[in-house]
Amino acid sequence: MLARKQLSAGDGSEEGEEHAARTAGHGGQLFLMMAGALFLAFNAAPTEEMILIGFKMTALHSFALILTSLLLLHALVFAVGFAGQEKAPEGYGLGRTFFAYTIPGYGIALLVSFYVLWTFGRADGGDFSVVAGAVVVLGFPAAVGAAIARLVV
Amino acid sequence: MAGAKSMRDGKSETPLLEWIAAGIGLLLTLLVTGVIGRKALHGEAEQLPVIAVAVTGITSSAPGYVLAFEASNQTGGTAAAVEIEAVLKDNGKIVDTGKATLDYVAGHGKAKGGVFLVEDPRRHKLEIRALGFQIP
Repeated sequence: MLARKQLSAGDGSEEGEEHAARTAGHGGQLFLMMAGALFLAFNAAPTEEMILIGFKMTALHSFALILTSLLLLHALVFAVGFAGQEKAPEGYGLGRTFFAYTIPGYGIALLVSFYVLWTFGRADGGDFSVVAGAVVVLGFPAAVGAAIARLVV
Repeated sequence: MAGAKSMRDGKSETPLLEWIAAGIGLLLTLLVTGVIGRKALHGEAEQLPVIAVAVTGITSSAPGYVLAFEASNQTGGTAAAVEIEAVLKDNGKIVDTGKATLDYVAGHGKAKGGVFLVEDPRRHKLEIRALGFQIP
């Protein structure tokens, strides 16, 4: 998908790009976010620091990180104005784009984080809240990955 | 990719998918927030770890014996660099000792490990306990 984006950019065919972005649909967008989240989460999860940070953070830190991840995910895709930024579909206000894309996107980031932590055995022997803490920490890079996937592809 | 459907077509047919996706996303976010918040309300993270060590198996190996254990943390506070020591005694005299270090024993969590011993732990009095920990 990366290659396709880059090749089509080389073509200079703005139209084709536009078309590709539009054909993704809601499900496709979510799928893209999952791929991006997996990509970054897989890179970050093998490090010891992900669970260490989870242990060190208090609940307040975790809440702040959840909020930051959500804001960043929303801002990167809809607000900051990078090349390739999504235009919200017509008739979609701030609230609707937030609930149609950002909230599911963050849900995907959390799921992907949990899956990766579980795969790497980092969720073993931990109780719910400990795993939740690590999932939130890994959820941040996963959310950034999800946002970037939507910008780039 | 979802075929040649345009976004506008997608919009008219997807409200259900959107609802479901938003619902699941919201549920997961609230779940994580709730689990972390509940722990915070109980003030569990500030508790000092209390680590109990249970022997889970003894296997004989080439140089002697492997004593497998499981350390479980009984409070909400996480312990790091937990040192476990196994001591074999005979009539109050120390016959053999073995040590292991566990990276983390999470709050209310468990961690497994083992120590190598030369003497058979079944034929002596075995004492196994956590020596200390570090707060991460």
